[in-house]
Amino acid sequence: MSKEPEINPNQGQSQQWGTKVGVILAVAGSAVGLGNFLRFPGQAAANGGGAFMVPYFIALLLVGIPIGWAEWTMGRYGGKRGFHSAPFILGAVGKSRVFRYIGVLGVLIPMAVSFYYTYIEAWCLDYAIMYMTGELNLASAGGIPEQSEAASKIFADTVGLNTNGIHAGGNLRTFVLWALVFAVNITLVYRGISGGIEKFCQLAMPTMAVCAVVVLVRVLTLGTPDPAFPDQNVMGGLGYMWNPDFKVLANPQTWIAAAGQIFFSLSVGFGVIINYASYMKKESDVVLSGVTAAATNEVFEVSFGGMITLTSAFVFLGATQATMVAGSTFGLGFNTFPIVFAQMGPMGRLIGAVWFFMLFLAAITSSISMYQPSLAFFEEALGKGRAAGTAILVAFCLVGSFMTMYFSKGLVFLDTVDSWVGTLGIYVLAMIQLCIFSYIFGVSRGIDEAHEGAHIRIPGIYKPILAVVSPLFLVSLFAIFSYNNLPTWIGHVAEKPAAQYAIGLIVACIVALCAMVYAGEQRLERRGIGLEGLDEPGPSSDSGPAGLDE
Amino acid sequence: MKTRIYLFRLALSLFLLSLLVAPASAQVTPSGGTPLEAIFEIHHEPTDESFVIFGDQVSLGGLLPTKVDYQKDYSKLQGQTFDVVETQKHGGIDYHSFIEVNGVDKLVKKGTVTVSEVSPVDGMPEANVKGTYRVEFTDGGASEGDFQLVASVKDYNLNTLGMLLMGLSIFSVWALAIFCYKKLLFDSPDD
Repeated sequence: MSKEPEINPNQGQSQQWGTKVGVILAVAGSAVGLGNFLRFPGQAAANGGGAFMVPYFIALLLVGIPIGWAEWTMGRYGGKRGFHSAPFILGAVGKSRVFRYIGVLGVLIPMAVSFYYTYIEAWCLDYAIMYMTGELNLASAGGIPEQSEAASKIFADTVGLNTNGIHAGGNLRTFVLWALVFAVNITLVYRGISGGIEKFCQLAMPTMAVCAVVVLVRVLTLGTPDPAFPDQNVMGGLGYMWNPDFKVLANPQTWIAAAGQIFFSLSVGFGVIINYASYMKKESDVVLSGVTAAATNEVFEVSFGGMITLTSAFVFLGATQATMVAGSTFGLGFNTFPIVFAQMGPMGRLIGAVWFFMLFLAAITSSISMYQPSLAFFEEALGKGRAAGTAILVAFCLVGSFMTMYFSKGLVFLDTVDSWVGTLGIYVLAMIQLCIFSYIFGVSRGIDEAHEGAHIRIPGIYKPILAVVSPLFLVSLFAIFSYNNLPTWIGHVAEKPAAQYAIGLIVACIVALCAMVYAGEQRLERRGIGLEGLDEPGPSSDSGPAGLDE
Repeated sequence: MKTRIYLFRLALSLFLLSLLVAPASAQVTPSGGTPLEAIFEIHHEPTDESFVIFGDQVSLGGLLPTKVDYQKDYSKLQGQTFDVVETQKHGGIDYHSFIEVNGVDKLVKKGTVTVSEVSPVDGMPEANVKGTYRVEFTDGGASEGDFQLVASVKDYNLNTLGMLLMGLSIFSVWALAIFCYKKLLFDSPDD
């Protein structure tokens, strides 16, 4: 009789966060990404400037933080029962096999997003290197129109925008950098929660903050660079971003934009928090951890993203250009900013290098968080060790990432995965998670569970918020978002082969992941482990159960 | 519990009421076409003023020889006709005039905008402007229609309210973060 393979031999004591701050920096690292610097400013400026902060903070309190608490709580609950991947955690919380299969979204989303996110990470690294070596020198191109053309060409070559395939002189260099970046990501994830992810985030997050401060100081001391355009100055740039237009508050689209920004910024419904929280100790404080991670994300978003990005674009390029690019994350980050740095004189090269290195750090702290949930799932579902689980993860990612890089024309493949999985999928998973937490697990029971080990208590007002307001908000947001976007997305899939390949890959991944869930269920049944996993250990234990290994 | 239900109902009522007092739409309406949301912006350039009727689906810009100036004397616009140009410079970048027709952005070669009526917006540094436009496209077609927009002079300098909101927002997130980290690192027992 063949020996039953061990289930997660690396579970339990060896897979726990080393410090209280470590898990928070890791979750915050997952949340802080390009969107904090490139998406938030555009959303705010387009939706009433400073007035946008009213619905923004309301959405933070009513949607972002409560859904985050639900995820942190469910994650730790699942971890106590020996589960670390979304399918099995949601199955334990929801007490139904159905939720195991729905929980596949919690693996699909981070994995599929990683297919293209590491590619974007490689762009950031490429630009940082180009600035460090002096290779990217737009000032030599001539005036701003010529610089704009040169910037567009550099971006198109870097990402392979104009043609599919991987070409020398085009995106071949980016492909090589991607391979390097991917290897670093996998190595960090393979080294484990504490030895890899936590240690890296403890270094990367403060470094990112330092880089942000350097760029912020440079931007705030720009003054009026061109006397020919006296209105284009720092105060004008800050005013462009922050002067309020309160009329927008009467427009429901503003509230939708704010809630959407909070939602995506905090990385709730992404499958990461629920995985990361599962490695917390039984007595860890999920309430304080959840708020702290959210606060860290907001510091980067509001005080750095809100002060740097559009201010500098306005100062050098004026209001109308800032408006034109504000809605485009890639356009702002990779076309407009090189032009901005080119106007800064000799300092522009240094600031450009620091800026893109900061974006690289923001991207890599996010991407390593995307690999860990999938790795945990492969270990758990298939009973594989870390090495074998990593190999399976690498296989999936090599296929997905290579397809992303190969079908680069117009970034259609990337956009399709981003739309269907990285946007729509997140809404769906967040709604499901919240419904499981609020209506199946129960709000009162969930809050009691969250309060275990907590040093601050969730205010009583959050009971009705979790039961009614947050789900209503989320469902409304999802319905309006789908109404506004799905017809266009479906049209794109119907028209573009690259989009069809992307959908095919997504479907194939879902099928494969569901098959793995089934295989995992069979193994757990043979081991006599039910939906709710292992019993909780007694109070004398200071960690979770010994895991599903023996 | 009753208090919470009351507060919830009050909040819901206020929210619904705010929707009712939303300002009238500002639109450009091509003849026989669907209205396009837009604003009428006046920009101070280094030597001239320019205007742009600007929205997601339309951009018609040109110079404003009859200057509104920093006193925002919008009445000067009344009865005036301004040329729409194919491209316009802002901050050294060229912007192309266009109108979306049946889902396609059609580039404008030339045209005119005529302001027939200007009326103030009570208590606001803006004005309601009504008028008509006519443009010719680069591919030979043409479009005409009318507009009813809110005109404003773009003044971007950070104002008092903006400074307050910026300061409050940044202070709030930093205060929350410091509170949380202090609690986590110093006030809570080690795990």
